[in-house]
Amino acid sequence: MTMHKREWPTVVALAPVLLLVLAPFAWLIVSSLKSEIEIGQADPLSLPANLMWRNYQDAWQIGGFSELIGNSFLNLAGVVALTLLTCTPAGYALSKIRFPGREWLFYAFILGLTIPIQAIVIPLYEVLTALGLVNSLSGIVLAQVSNGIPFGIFLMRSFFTNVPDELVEAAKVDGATHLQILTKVFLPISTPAVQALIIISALSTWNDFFLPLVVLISPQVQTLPLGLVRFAGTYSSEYRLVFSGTVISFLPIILLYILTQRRFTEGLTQGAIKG
Amino acid sequence: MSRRLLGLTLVLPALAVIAFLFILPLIMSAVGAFQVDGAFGWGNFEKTFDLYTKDIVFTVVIVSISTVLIGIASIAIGGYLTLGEHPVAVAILRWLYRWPMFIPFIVVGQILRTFLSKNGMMNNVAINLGLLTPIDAVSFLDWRGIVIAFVWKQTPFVALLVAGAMASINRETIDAARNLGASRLRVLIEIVVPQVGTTLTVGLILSFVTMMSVLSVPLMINAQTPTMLTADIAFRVNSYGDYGVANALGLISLLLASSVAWIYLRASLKERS
Repeated sequence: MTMHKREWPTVVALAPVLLLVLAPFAWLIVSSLKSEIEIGQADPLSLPANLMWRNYQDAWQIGGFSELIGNSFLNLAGVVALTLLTCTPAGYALSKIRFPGREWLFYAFILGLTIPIQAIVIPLYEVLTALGLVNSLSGIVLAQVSNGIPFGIFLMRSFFTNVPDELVEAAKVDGATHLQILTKVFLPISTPAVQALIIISALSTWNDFFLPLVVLISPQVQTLPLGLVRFAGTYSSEYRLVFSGTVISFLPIILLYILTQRRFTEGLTQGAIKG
Repeated sequence: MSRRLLGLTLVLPALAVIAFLFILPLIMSAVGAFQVDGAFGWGNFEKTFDLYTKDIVFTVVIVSISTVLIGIASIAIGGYLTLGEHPVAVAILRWLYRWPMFIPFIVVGQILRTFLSKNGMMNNVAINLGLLTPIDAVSFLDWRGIVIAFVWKQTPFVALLVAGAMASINRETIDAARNLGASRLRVLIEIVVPQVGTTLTVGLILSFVTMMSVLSVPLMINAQTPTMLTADIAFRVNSYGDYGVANALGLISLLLASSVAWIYLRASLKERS
């Protein structure tokens, strides 16, 4: 009890931090349910007289959010699938198969983590143009996969490194090949890391603005962040639409967070990413 | 199949994608940065430093300040989650601190643009509480807004890694120090933080590079000069079609990010040897 009493100053000190985290969310959501006149009154602490669910209906229709969300989901599915297919075997090989140049190859991949996307974005556009992939979802998928591979390999290798080598040796004694060890031994015990990779990959793809801005030109193929900017720019004076459109754009990813937060945390902290 | 061949085969798909869509563009970017009217030279870099020295310094300062603040906030959050003794406060913090990580930068920019403006929520609350008069209200839509956006968005990611690493530290050393009368702050600084140094560095480097690459926040929060290099690249391409200077700016961003990553790589190699 004494301990708890001593704790109160810390708890009080944490309150503004929590407020800072929550306030923008709360304000945005409350404002998205106000009328244009109520928003114009600039009283941030007031609640809406009537909940204006119509704002969401209007934003959804005017902003074409169904198409944007559809494109974002296709984009996300492609990136997540390809990231898993490339990073899992590479992470295993770089962790458990001893071959000359393994360490250097790993550091070469890690170097990719340090390359800001703006350093390559113009030539990347040229490469995609040459391949006929500009303005297509397959083009953006490939570009985002290449951007996500360094972190994916880093994550999977970190996790696999923490699995004892004895497990590999035991499986080999039983006659298993490396491919069998990867698919039948390592993948089943790597669920937290795989799930963390899926979530991180999904998150960064869903939220990406820079690469889609360069690669996806016509509105028909654009993803949610691009659509939101276009929408907010066109209806910048209609705050109720901008606010509700903004909430619509992050609701799916918040839902993903609520559903997966425990697994996501486990994957990132149970052995993965320890340098 | 030999081990070398097997290892390379498993790495090959990732390597092919990286080589074609990462390394090749990087080489093309480097070549493009040195190309002026079909010949090689330093022209693009001279022009870049003439026009954008202030923005380069601005970018480094903004990202560095943000990185330091993210580090401090992450240690504070991770430290409280590890050493906090009030279960309800720990549970609330654990539930809450990760939320901003899931919000796209574009939405963070959109929220903070209206939140931090002269007649935004922050000033309105201060005015309503009598802490500020309307005439004294100032907009935070400048370097401060960018720093707030970066710290708000990136702290949860680093805090998550740091808190995970702190949770795996042997509790006995912490309890022993506490029993000997060390304060929680001292335990945090002298026992806990040194043991999670590598994880903290990894998280901060990843955040540094991420912040260097963000376009939406500087565009939405601080459109005036000085601004960040990503906004300059977009401006050179969209307004002038000047790919040479844009490539040079990209290469400078790469050098800045790589120099920070080198710190990690050197420490990592030293640890392994």
